[in-house]
Amino acid sequence: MKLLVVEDHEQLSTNMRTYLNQEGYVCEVAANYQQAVEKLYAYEYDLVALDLMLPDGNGLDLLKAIKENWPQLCVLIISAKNALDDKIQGLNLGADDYLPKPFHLAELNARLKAIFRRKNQQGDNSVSFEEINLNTDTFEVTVNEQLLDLTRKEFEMLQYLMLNQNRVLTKQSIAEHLWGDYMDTADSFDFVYQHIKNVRKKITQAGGNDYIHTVYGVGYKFKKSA
Amino acid sequence: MKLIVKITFFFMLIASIVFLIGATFTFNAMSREIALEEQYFLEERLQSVIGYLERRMPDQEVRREKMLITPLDSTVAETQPIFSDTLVTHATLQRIEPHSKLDVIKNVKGKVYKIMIYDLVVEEDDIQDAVQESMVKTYLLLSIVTLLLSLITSFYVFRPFQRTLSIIRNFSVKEDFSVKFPNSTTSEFKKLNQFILDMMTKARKDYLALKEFSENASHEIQTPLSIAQGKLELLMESKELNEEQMELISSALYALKRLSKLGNSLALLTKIENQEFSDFTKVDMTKLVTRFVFDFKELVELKEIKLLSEVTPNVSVTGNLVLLELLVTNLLNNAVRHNFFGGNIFVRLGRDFFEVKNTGEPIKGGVENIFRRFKKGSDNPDSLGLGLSIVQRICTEHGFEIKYEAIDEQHCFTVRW
Repeated sequence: MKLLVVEDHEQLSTNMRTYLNQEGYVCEVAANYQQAVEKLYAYEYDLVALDLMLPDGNGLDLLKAIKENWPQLCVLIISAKNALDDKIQGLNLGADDYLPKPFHLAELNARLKAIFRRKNQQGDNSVSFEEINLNTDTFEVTVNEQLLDLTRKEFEMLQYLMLNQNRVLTKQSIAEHLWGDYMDTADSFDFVYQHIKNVRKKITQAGGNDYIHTVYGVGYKFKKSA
Repeated sequence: MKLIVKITFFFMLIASIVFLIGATFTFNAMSREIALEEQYFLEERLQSVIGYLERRMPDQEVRREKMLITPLDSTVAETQPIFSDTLVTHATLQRIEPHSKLDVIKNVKGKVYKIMIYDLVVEEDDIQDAVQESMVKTYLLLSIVTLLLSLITSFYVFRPFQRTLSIIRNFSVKEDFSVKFPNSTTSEFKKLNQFILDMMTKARKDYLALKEFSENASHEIQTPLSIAQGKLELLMESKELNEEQMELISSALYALKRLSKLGNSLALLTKIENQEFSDFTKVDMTKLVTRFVFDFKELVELKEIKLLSEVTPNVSVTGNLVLLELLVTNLLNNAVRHNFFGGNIFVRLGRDFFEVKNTGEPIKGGVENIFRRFKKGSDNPDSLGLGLSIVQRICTEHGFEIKYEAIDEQHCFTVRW
């Protein structure tokens, strides 16, 4: 999977590249509008992560250019400008998703995977890990072919964990993924704990293994062995 | 009181003082002139008396009206005429009246006569009356004319000023302006207009600079925060970290998130104040409230709070969808955050109001401060203290009325439209 990160802050693009490389993406960075256009002409990418504020131009203009010349290319807008107009305008111009800064790298990863999945419509719409299979179309989870009765939030949380395997996911990152911005109380951490407890119980009751490991004081990690 | 009326009254006050002083001047001058005039008159009469004496040369005392001639010894020397006042019974009025008198001893062709002539004088209080009457009449006339004139001229002279006032009244720093001050020939108004124009331009410029700053600041803060957050998340992936180190990273991440939220909330407040959410449509409140009550149900259950709702169907208001969503979520969030474990929340949507009532600790500090920024009614460290400010701001933008009440130890927020 080849990814172009258009971001003028070197530190930020390095963070993204480091994280995404670990996920198995081939990740390249363009620091400005000009570089981005040059790279787009020179190489072929599957996805562009685009910052709207560029030193030599507006990201929305670049988005327009991309949609004209490379209509198949997926675009994820990353913007510190948490302006609603930008979001709506970006999505109207054909961007696939919008991620406001600052974001959790795990969230970025999950969004990218969701975009790829949508792009490959004919492909497999499920995420599998050992005996657990998660279908993103039907919102169904099976453990050893046995259907689990999960709530919507439990499903979303399991999906988030499975998309970020072998990563430490902070409770905060999970809470934000589940409830977005209008859930900012410390209570949310307890809620995450409740959901984790329920999901674990449901998976083990269905005869599955517990892959959700607690990282004390921090969060959770979805991985194979202890 | 209008400026022109004030000035007129002040002018009239000064005029009355001037008139008073003027009246005494007039009185003195008149008295003096009249006295002189009387003396001339008596002297003239003396001449005719002397003419009469030259012709008749009487030896007896002559007593006529207002005149007494007494022949004297021819040895008595002549004197200069002496004027004096005296009281004489007036022949026709039959009462004592003040008269002026002339006494003289004259030698007419060798015979010496003592001549005494007197005549009625104009009394002081008569002069006073006359002066007073004329002064009062003049003063009244002056008052009326001045008032009328000031009203008429104020209309013309103050017209540019009135226009300037209306320009100031309509001025808002939030709106771009291109005002044209009316030309005035009055130099004070010219200066005033120039001054106001300069001030308006500066206010607008400062406002834009401040707006740009707060937008940029809250925007620019997000990028370094993103970097820091990413670095910490990458650090967390390191294999060698022990539990304690992980916890340190986690708290640092949490603090970063709060900082970012703070920036976003302040930016949001600025945006609402700048009226950047001007896209007003008809919003189905029934649908909106039902959706969020549903969304919050889960959060509420985890805290074992009972959430009851009473939603009137088909309620809609004109407003900005995003802001109305924020209004409802902020109030609901507030009700969850400041609630007891096992408390309750009652949400009501009526034709013209939205109400959230919840159990919770009594508000610390003054109730009047709850809508102010960074004023927290609780010790909850996770509360930024901006939620209710945003709610209030949204209400102001929409012309809604927000009210807080403590009813039966419950917090109750009511928004009316």
